[in-house]
Amino acid sequence: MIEQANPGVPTVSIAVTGSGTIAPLIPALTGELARHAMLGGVRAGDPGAFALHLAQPAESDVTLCLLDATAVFQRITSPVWTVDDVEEAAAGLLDLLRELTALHRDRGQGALVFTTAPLWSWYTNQILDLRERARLGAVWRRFTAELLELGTGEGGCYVIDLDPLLGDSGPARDPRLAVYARVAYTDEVLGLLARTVGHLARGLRGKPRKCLVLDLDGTLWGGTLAESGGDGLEMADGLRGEAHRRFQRAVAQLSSQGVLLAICSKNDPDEVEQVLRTHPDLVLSRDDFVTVVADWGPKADTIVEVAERIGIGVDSLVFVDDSPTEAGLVRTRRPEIAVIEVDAAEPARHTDRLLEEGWFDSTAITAEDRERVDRYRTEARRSEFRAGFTSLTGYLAELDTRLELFAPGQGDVARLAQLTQRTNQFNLTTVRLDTTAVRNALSDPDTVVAPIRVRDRFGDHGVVGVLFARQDAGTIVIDNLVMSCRVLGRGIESAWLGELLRWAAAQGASAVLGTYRPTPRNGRVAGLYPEHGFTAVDGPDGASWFRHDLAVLPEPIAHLTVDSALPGSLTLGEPR
Amino acid sequence: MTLDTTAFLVLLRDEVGLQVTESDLDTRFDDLPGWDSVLLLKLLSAVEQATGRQAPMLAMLEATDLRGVHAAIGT
Repeated sequence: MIEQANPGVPTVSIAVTGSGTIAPLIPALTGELARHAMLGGVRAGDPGAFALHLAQPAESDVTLCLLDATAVFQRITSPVWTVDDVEEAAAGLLDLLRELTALHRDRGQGALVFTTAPLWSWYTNQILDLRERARLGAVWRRFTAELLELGTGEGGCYVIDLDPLLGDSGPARDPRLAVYARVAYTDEVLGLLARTVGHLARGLRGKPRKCLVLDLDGTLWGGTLAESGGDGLEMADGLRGEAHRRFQRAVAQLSSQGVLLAICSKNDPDEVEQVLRTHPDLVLSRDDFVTVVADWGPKADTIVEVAERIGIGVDSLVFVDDSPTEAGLVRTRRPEIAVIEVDAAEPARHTDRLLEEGWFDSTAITAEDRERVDRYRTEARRSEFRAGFTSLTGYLAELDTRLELFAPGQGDVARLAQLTQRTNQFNLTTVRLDTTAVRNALSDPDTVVAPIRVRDRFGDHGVVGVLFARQDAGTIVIDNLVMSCRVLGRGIESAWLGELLRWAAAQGASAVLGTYRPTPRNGRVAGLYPEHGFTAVDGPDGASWFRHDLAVLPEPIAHLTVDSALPGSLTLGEPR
Repeated sequence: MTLDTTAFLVLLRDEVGLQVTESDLDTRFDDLPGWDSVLLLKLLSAVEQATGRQAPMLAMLEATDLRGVHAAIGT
């Protein structure tokens, strides 16, 4: 199997269906998966048979339904039609799509993705009364708006709006393809759609990036700081200045949604600091950047320092630079970093270049994401605080960390799914769950979902970890335990596991079992269970299993305060 | 520009990814290994890019072998 030959490479399966011929989309989708270093098959269903296809329980990670205007017009049986007929047909199609979405939510798995169905001129031009033609447009937009609404709720349904893509493509349709081959869109549109689906698949597989690392001269602003000084930089007026201002606004927009900003520049650090703190034209201020690395060393090296200072993996970075040399070196020597090369001679294109690969697209942005910037800035303050202590214990005590095991509600589902998807290092079994799977776990009476929230004297870390366990024949089996790396190094995992062990004992369980499945990135938790009083036992599936017999329970951790809302009584099955 | 047989075969190999020789041109599509109708759409856009003019799609679709497709392009 390809998967076995490529351990650690994410896999995603896509099934495609639609109201017309979908075959031309398949190679484009396959290519996009490869570009994002994901393995997986793309399967095509029967052309035109989307309703039949979607009525079967979905088995792929992504089920994509490519809609086009014929999906509506085919429902009109009379040879001639009025705007009222279109309105009725569109309403009928919407009802069908709603039903299929509900079916998918109840019985299917993975994500269900619809496209919108743009209205072409060969329909509108058939209505001669211009007021009626306008009404057809209005009817169609209401249909499109309601279709898009299907993708705004919970339940794993997404809708890709094709309209914005049409602005980036050449002709979107070819009447010959449409009539002779039932191909609704040109290759250019299908290519852009495949790219968007690729971003979605990357988002579902927990691969979105966290931090945007920006070059300064020619990227964030026009001009060269070392040559012209702060006064000569262009970022407000003039053709070049307005283009860079527009780019800065787009960067600020990303930052407002949780993307961390950092700078990696070949400049004098004091000069950079001076400009960032005082330049009146900057849209972004010094405080918007989590860290600033200004250095004359090669960026392939200094960019690593950016990741280290923030405490995230190098593979969470997206790097923007106008120098082909720097961009090329980073790309070659740090292939895990996403590199966006911009052209300093044409800054009007910067914003499109920044956004077109959708590096920060997410299937759901949570409150934690939006507050992430603050938290990482607080982490920088914590680092300074840590430097002031000689004894680690003193530091931990002074931090006054509070750990809360809480009972999760529906509002926590997106964050818990995201934790299982994004956490790579502190992840015992790397079982990725989507929101549907988390919801199922919450409603299963035999399963205990125990997320943790962490606060300390510097602020709130939010929901940083989750443990999934279930009762099985008088024992508690931990299916997975994941924790964000930003709270490592203060014993939280010990307090958390300890609380679970004490709770299991109080429930009358005979043992707690857990397993560790190695991946290329979770080596740091290989010893987690043995370090907490578990002993290795033979597992049924060849994985490393560990057992704690609950004879000696761990003491509470001195510097941590724990509040637990683990369920008071759990019905345990009979011991085996 | 027009496409002679050699250029047509190169187009089939390089742009459509179909490994064919001149003797395959007369094989009916039903018997041609690796052929499916999507390839004809790829061939259509490849021909339009190579010749710089619209290809006669209907005539191409009605052909039953590659020789027929080539003849349609030439007309």
